Amino acid sequence: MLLEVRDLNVRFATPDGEVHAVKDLSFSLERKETLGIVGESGSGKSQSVLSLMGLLAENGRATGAAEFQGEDLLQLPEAALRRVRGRKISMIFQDPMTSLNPYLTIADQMVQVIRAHERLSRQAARARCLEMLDAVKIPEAGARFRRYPHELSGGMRQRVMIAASLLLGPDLLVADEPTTALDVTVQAQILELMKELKDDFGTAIILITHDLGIVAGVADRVLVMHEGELKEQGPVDEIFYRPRHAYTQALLAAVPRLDAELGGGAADEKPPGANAATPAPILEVDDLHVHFPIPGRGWWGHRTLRAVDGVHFAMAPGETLGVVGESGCGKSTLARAILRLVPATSGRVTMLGRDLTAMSAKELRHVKRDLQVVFQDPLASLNPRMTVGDIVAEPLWTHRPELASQAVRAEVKDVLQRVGLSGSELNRYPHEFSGGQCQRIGIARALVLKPKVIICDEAVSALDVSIQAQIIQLLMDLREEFGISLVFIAHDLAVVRHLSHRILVMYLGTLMEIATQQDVARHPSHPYTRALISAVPVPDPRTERSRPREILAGDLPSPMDPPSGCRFRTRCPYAVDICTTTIPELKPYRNGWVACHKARELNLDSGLG
Amino acid sequence: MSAELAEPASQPAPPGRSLWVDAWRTLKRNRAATASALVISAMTVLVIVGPWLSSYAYDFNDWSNASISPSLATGHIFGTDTLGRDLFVRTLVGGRISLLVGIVATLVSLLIGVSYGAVAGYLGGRLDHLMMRLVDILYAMPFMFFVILLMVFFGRNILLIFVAIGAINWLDMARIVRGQTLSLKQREFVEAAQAQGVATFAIIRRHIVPNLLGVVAVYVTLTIPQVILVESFLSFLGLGVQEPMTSWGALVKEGAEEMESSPWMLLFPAVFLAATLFCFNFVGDGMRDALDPKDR
Repeated sequence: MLLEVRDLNVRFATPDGEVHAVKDLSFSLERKETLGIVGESGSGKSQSVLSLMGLLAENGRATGAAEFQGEDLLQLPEAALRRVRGRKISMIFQDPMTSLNPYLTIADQMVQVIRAHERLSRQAARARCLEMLDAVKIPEAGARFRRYPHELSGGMRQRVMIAASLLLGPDLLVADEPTTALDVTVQAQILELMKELKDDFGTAIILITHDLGIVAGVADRVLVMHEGELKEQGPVDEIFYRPRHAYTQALLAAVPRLDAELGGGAADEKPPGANAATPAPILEVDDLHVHFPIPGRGWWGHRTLRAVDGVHFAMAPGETLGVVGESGCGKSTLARAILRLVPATSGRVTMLGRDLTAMSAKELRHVKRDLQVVFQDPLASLNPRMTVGDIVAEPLWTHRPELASQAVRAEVKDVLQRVGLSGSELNRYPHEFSGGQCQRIGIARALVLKPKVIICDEAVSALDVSIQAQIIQLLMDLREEFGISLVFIAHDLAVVRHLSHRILVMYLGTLMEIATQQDVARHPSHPYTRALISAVPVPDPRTERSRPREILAGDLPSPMDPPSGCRFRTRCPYAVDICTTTIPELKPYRNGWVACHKARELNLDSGLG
Repeated sequence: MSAELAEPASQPAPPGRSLWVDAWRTLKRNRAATASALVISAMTVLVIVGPWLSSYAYDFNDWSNASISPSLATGHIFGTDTLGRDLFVRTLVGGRISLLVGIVATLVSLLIGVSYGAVAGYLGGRLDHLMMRLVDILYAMPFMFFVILLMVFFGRNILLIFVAIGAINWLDMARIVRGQTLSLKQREFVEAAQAQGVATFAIIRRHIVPNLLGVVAVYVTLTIPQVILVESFLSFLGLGVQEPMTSWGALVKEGAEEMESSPWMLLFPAVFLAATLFCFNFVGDGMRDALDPKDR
């Protein structure tokens, strides 16, 4: 037994009274075991572990017992605890940038870790660090060693953090949301690395995460927490295949799964109008480019950031088009360019036969009546100084100024009820609501004019799994009821697939593939799509263990300086000479379109289901 | 959806709790700020009402009682100056001028600064450059030189002080407001309003300015004492109000000259001035804490 926690309680004293963050938590951890702690935000999953390390905020207090190698961590004086931290227990956090000192090189920080705990010459310490950087598979470790944190990519920084945390050979590694800030393909690399390191170093791991898919792939045992209480604990297979607690069952049901059968679901049906003879598209994007000038060297020199570089699609009325891609792929810029929040460099956006890019500001304002948007951060997208009633009424004030204030109130009330709120929220302010409720208000605001198209830019990404499921359901209901077409942008392929008819896959500003959601998930035509699917963790331990992994090497190239030819070629396992020299055209393939020279030869499938 | 995962139902609480109400509560909990606000209110009332109740006028020379120390017998509770004028009335009348200059000049700079800064920041681009370079040019003008020029051209006049101080102070305000606007412009709710097609000036009015007010309110409470101090400084140099009218700064100047023979002439106006500045600064600090968005 490495660690045994009994009756752990964590309380915070706040001006509004005491908050009981962790309630009577007991668990144990064997040597070399990986324990996953899952829960939604506010479940106390992080606080429970931080309290063991003596890292609670000043107003926090932990009671109970936590026996680690014969010592009770909660009773240890600060000096002794500091010796345990780093040496026996080490920790990695969500954002490696904030845990690394921006003014010190990687070398200085890592050497410092060793020399704080051991008497070792600088040379010997350096040698040990380099060895460890090799172990976490940092290419050209010698050169990177002397860099500053900001010169490394997010994935590399997290590798450095892992290397630093393993330097002193700890018995326990605590990883708090270690991959949440990373892209899925990079996340897959880090998770794979953690699994290997666990075998090589024999370190026990506590993995704190909100993502059930990660737990399914990595953990041996799982704790499920909710509102500070331990709901259920057991071996990973027990939790996933025979969950006993109602909360665990509900949580598992709420997770959108990439391998799910979506038969009979709304997403599986052909978009309305698809069978009619070539329906007029409601929204059409034709060879859209958005470039930003970035100041470069010299006074006049500048480089060009090609955020969106040639995107085409046409959307039928009532259709939902999903847009997926990793950070920096231009999906949000695409949304902003369609709304003309950023100017298009070239290309056209046509809605109902009218070219939005060539319109005057006044005409454009008129069109916005039919084109609305829901943003990612539910709270940030609502003006904190306006009441909910005013926020939802604003589109009416703008587009239907003839409406009397009584009528506006009635409409607002109506739409609030329609999105699942009570309608009595009119005079309250956004900060009084939870994230899910705020997102409902944001949807109400987009819906109040009964638009024809709504663009959802990462509309559910900031929400907890259970709330996410509710909002997705709400969007699906509203789509049916009002016949709205949705452009649904997200980085999470499983979520996108859940409510899209067709999916558009983007990489570094260009289109890789457009196909039906069924084809994208089952028979991806583009190697990138396939890699993306392979990287998404599925909340099913058996699938996670058995499915073929295809882990992309390296990081996303900079969109400032994209590779020649096919942009994906630097990470593509199938790249050949032609990929370097010629940009692949978007060609019809199977039921969709794909931009890959080798799509026909490869004839890929996802290896799921 | 299982009940286990349901969001907590929203309690029916129709009257909302705005950020201002929250800030007000935090401010009320701050004892130093509350006490200071009370002192300022009391001071304001005293300064307005006091001179009417006094039996002496501020420019009446009681020659038989020149330069006497505070005494109840003569009714000169703060004593008199070298010209036999009652110091109590003069201190209060001087307070009227000082507070008036502080508040009016601040309001002027508030009005110009907020609209100028918000427009420059929100519209951005070339217009922003043009507007801010103008601010830079005005910044470069030496303040004292500017005041002396005004005096030379227009003669000594209390109005000129308002103009001079207001003309300089709005520059700071415009810069602060512009900076805030630039960051507000990036916020999603502004983007949401743009995406909805809300007109530009409606966005500035409904989304930008209300969100600036927190910062502005703090800045205003910290500007008032600064302006009072500038006016005192001008009066101290003899560039401020014209005799027999007076202000705290002018009184302190006269008092400083007679410091050795009649220390009360320095003491009373100085205490009033210092207490007011002190209280305004406390209220300003309290407001900054109360309105700090990081706290929530």
